[in-house]
Amino acid sequence: MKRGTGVNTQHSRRRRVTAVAGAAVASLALVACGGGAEESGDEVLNIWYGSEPGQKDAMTSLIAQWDEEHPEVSVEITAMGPELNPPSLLPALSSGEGPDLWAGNLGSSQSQAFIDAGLVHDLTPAYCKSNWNKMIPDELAVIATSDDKMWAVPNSIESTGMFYRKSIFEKLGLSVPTTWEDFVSVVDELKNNGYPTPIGAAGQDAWPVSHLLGAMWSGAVGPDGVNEILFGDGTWTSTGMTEATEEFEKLADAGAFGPDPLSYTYQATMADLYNGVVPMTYTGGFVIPDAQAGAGENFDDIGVFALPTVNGGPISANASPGEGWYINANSKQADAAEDLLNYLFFTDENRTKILEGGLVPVGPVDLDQVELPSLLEELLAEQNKYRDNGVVPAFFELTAPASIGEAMMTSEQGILAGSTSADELLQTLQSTWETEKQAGKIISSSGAPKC
Amino acid sequence: MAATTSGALTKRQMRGRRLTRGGRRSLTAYLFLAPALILYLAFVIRPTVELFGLSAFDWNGVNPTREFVGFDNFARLFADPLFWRSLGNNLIFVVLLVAFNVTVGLITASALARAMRGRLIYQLIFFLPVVQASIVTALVWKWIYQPEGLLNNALEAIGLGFLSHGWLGDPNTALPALALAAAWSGFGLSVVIFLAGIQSIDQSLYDSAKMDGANTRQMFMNVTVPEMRPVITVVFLLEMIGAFQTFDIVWATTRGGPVNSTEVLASFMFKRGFTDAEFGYGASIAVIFMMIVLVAAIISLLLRERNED
Repeated sequence: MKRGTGVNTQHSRRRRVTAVAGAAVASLALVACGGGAEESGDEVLNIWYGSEPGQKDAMTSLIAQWDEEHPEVSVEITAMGPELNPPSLLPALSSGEGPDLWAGNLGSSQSQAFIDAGLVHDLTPAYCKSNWNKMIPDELAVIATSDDKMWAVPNSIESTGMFYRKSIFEKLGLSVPTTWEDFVSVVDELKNNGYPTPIGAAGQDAWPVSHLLGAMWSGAVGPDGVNEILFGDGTWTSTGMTEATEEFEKLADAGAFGPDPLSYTYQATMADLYNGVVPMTYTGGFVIPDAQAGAGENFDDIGVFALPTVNGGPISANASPGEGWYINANSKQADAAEDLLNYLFFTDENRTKILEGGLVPVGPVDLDQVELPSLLEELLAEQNKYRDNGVVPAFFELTAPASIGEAMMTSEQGILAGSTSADELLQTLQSTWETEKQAGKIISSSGAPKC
Repeated sequence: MAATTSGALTKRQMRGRRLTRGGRRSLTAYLFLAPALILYLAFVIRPTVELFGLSAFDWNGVNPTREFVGFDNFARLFADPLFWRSLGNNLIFVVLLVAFNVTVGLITASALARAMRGRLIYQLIFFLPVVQASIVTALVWKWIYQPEGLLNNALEAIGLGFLSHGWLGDPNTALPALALAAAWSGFGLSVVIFLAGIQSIDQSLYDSAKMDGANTRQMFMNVTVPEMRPVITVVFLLEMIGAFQTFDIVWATTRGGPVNSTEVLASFMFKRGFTDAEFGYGASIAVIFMMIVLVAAIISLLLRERNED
């Protein structure tokens, strides 16, 4: 009796399971056949990007506005920071999938690999037709161009400078340095007056150190020298580069970066700047939205100055390209993606909004129409002081193959640890550069696309 | 006649039924095995074969064309100082991790086996890091090792402040510091396995040893350790393979730095493959990596079998 009951129970359970499974299959079939965007006639525009929190908010709200104005397209954003983007993009794009539009490094090995594989949409027609060529300066367009074709829209100019705590300088009677000798004196004074880490290096993350040394390099060799190295026959071991690297080594040996320069992340270093533990750190305008939130009432006490050149040469404005926005060559939404890029980066109103969000868009912006955080205004004003001397980058690693960036950061950490010399660093970079150049992996100097 | 025919059919049917039952059993067994086998073939064997193939090409991961380079990637790998540095770091990691988790794990399990009270609580405490997400473990230890972190504060408190420094920022201490963190996260598993092994040792061996006047240390060395040899081999094998595969704790804390002092084969492979878009070269690292783990595993298994014999 009990067994029979058991069989009946099993049968009824099996029927229930079958019924549930059937319902699930039917539901899935219904969803697959007619659900979501396709049912409403929408086409989906997938975007992968990630940036600083404040900037992302400004960009996200602009994308949402565009989405509202384009009911025929539905935008889906995947927040993909720079760390997740590279390992995710490779398999996604190579399998014919991935985003329609993504933000990635300009000129890195990976971006060039995508271009070589025919996975990136050619933006040259839009660049000429939509007058982007009048907005994007040639020196930036070059970085996004190969074979006379533009592959990416550079989204921003990252202006950098030495951020410092004004009250600490005032307390110690220090002036903003305008020569390298003054700068070294300021470092010594800070060190002798209770600040064991005069310059926060954020050596654990390595890239902030790269930006500081990059600014020292470009200051020492000037705009022409930088172009010679990146696009001509210049070498990483030239006199200016050597002078700058040796000065960096001297700073490290003198303890300018504190007793544990490799133990602090960028985030920890910025927190120390906000708290007044670290009086100076070299960074860019991209940190300003975070600084507004993190520094609280100390935000107004943060100032910025242009780093003097190590060899007494003229100071140039320091600005590097940010990320580039690429369109998937296999995207069915390429036109919509182009339209969105145009909307984001090439309409006056939205360029202003992006600037207010903390990201400096490429090309001219009417600053009188913009309400900027005081620190960003100060940074831009400081850059404008030296703009006549030309513009130089601090982010060498972003426009070079990944191996250069890696060699740079490892050797810089070596200098901070006392295990690598200035000469070894430059020799490593030069040999890596030559290898990459031979392999055709560096940005070609074909210039901006002709319209 | 009808009855005979009926009887003959019945015998044939019976024979058929017996055969069918045997066949059915095998078929059922194969059907149960099939999903795992298909998944294993699709997700382990096939990618492994492809990996070997990929290591003979120069390929950036996306280009439709791959350039055949034969063994060039391996020649380049063996000439790459960073490969040897990563391998060396991996070996140091293995030694530190295995030494800690086998020796301290066995001693701890032995002590726990003797503890009458609170054994379960201790087991839970030791096992907690095992179930914790590795990224959480990494972040906790990153905080502990900071210049103003828990470890340095503790050293200050006990008068050893002169030892305090940035543990992960110093190329000399970063690797051992990470190995200790990794050991901590796997320690609980070793303890649980050892404890299960110790509890299965015949109690009469301890009783005899006691009657012979053996103290705790002598019982541990002369009863526990010899009896636990097969279990020690298993833990050794698990820890060694785990240590070779280390990636997450390195990536979440130091990314192989400072100055490559914590670069291990997995992080080295990841950087070459995904950051530098050198899939062929990355595959050659993976092949060597796999061979090392395979050889180490085979040696350990052979040792285990010899112990069991």
